[in-house]
Amino acid sequence: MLDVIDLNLEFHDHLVPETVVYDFDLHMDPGQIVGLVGESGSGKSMTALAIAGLLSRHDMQKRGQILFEGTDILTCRRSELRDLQGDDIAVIFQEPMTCLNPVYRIGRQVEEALRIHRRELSKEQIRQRALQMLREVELEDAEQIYRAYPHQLSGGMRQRVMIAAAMICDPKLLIADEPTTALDVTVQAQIIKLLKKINAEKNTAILFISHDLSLVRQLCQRVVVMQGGRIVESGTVEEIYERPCQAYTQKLIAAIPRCEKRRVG
Amino acid sequence: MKYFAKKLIGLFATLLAVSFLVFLAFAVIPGDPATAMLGTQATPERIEALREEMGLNEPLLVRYAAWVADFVRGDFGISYSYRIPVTNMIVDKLPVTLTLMALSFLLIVFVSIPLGITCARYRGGVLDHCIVAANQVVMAIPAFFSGILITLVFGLLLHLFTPGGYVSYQKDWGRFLGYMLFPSIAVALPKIAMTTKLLRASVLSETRLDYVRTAYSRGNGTRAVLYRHVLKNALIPVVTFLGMALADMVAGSIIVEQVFNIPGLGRILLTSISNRDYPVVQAIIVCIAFLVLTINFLVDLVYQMVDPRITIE
Repeated sequence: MLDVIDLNLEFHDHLVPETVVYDFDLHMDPGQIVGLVGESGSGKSMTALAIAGLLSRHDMQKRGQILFEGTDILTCRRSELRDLQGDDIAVIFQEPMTCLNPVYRIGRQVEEALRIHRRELSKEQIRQRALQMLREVELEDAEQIYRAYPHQLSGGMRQRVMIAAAMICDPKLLIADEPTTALDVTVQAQIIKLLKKINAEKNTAILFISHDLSLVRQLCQRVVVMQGGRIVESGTVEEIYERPCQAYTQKLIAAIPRCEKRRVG
Repeated sequence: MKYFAKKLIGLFATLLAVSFLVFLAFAVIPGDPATAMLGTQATPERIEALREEMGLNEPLLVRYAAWVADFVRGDFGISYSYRIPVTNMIVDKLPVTLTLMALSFLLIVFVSIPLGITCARYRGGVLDHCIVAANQVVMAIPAFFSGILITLVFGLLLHLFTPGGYVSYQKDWGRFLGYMLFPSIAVALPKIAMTTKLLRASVLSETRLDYVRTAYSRGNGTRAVLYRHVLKNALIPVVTFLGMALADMVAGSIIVEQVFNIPGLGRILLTSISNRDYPVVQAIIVCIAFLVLTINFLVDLVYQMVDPRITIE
C-alpha cells in the first residue's frame, strides 16, 4: 500500500542546505501498525509530514519516491494529492490544543473531510456520521461535543476529536505524529487503546511516530528506529526489543522507565 | 443584562461629558451668536437686548442645565441662524452622512479583505510588492486630497459623475448613491490601505499555526484554507481596527463633504460653528458622540461573533 523509496529531505532555507532525512525506506501493508521511533531531531516527524503530503513545496528539496497505492506523493499533481488527503490518508498531530481551529464548532471540523470528499451526502447524513464518529472515539454526550468549541474541551477530548475527524472518511492510512506526547499518562493509555481498536475494527494502517518506546511496544507490530535522519534499525517489535543490534536502540530501550519491586532491608 | 446596563450608563455619562465640553468651549472661544445674528445691524444696545432675550446672560451652568433638561425631553432647541428646530435640520442631514459612512465601510470590507489575503498568499511575489507599495502611497494621502484627485479623474476626465452635482436622496435614491460612491472612495481609500496591511500581517501570522496544517491534511486547497479557516481568525485584530476606523470616519467625512459639496452633517456643523449657532453644534456633536459609542458597542458584539472564546458578561 505504502512504499517509501530512498527519501531524502533537504532544507534550503539557510545559506547552507541542510539534510534532515537520508535514504529513508519504508514498506507498509494495509492494516499494519508501524512505529517510527527516535529522539527529537531524528527526522521522524519530517518523514511523517512528507508522507502526509504536508511539507510545503518551497525552500526544500525532496528526492526519492513516496508511493501510496502507486501515486507518488512527491511528484503528483496538487489536486491528486488533495484527493488523497483526508480521504485515504489522514493525520493526527502532537498538539491537540492547537490543531483544532479555535473559532469553529467541533462538529464542523469533524465533518470537514466528509464535506470535501463525499459531496453527494446530505447535510443530515454528514451530521449523523460525525455524531457516530464522536461516539466511536468514546466521547460521551456526542451531541454536546458536536456543538462545543475546542477551548471548552480537555486535551484528551480534543485528541479524540482529532481522531474522529481523521477517521471520518475511513482512511487506509492514519499517520499519528506523536499523538500522545502532550497528554498525561492515563489519557495516553486510553488513546493507544483507541488506536488499537480502530485498527482492529476498520483495518486502518497506522504509522505511529513516537519517542516513547514503551508505547510503540504496546501498539505496533513493526518498528523503524531513526537517528540523525537515517534509519539505524528496523524489524518486528520482538526482534528490536529482545535483540537490539544497534547501540543506539539499546540505549533507547534502556531509557524506558521501569517499575521494579525494590527489596527492603 | 448587567453588561447592557453598564454600557447604557457609560453611554449617558459620555454624552453628558461631551456636551458639557462643547458648552465650555463656546464659553471660552471669542465670538457671540447675537453679534453673528445681527450682522451689519449690530449696535451695542441691540446686541445686549438680543443676548438677554436668548438667555445668554445667564451663568454657564444654568444655561447648560436648561439645555440638558430640554434635550432629555427630546427638544434640541431652535437654530439661532436658521430659526427652525434643530431636530428638523439634523433629521434631514443624518441619512446623508450615514450613507457616506456605510458606503465607505462596505468598500473597506469588500476591498481590503481580498487584497489582504491575496498579499499574504503570494507573499514576496510581484503582486504582493505592488499592493504593498500602493498601500504606502495611499495611506499617506489624506481623504480631502484624494477627494480632489477623484473629482479630477472620475469627474472631469472620465465623466463618471458631475462634480458638485449632488442629488438629494429625497429626490432620487439611485442617483444619490451614484454620487455618494465617489466621496465614499475618498473616505475609504486610506482605511483600505491600512486594513489591507493589517490583515496581510494577521493572515501571515495565522498561517504558521497548527490548525492550518490540520486544514490542509483534510484535503483543503490553499484558497479554502485561507478563506474558510484563516480568515475568521485573522479578522480578530482587524475588527478592532475597523471599529476605530469607523469612529474616525465620522469626523473625517466632514471635510470630504466639503470637497464634494454634500449637504451632510459636516456642512451644517462647520457653518454653525462659525455662526456660533450653539444649539445646532451641540446637537450634532452629541449625535456624533452617540454614533461613535454605538459603533464601539457593535464592535464588542462582533468580537463575540468572531471569537467564541470571548464572552461579554
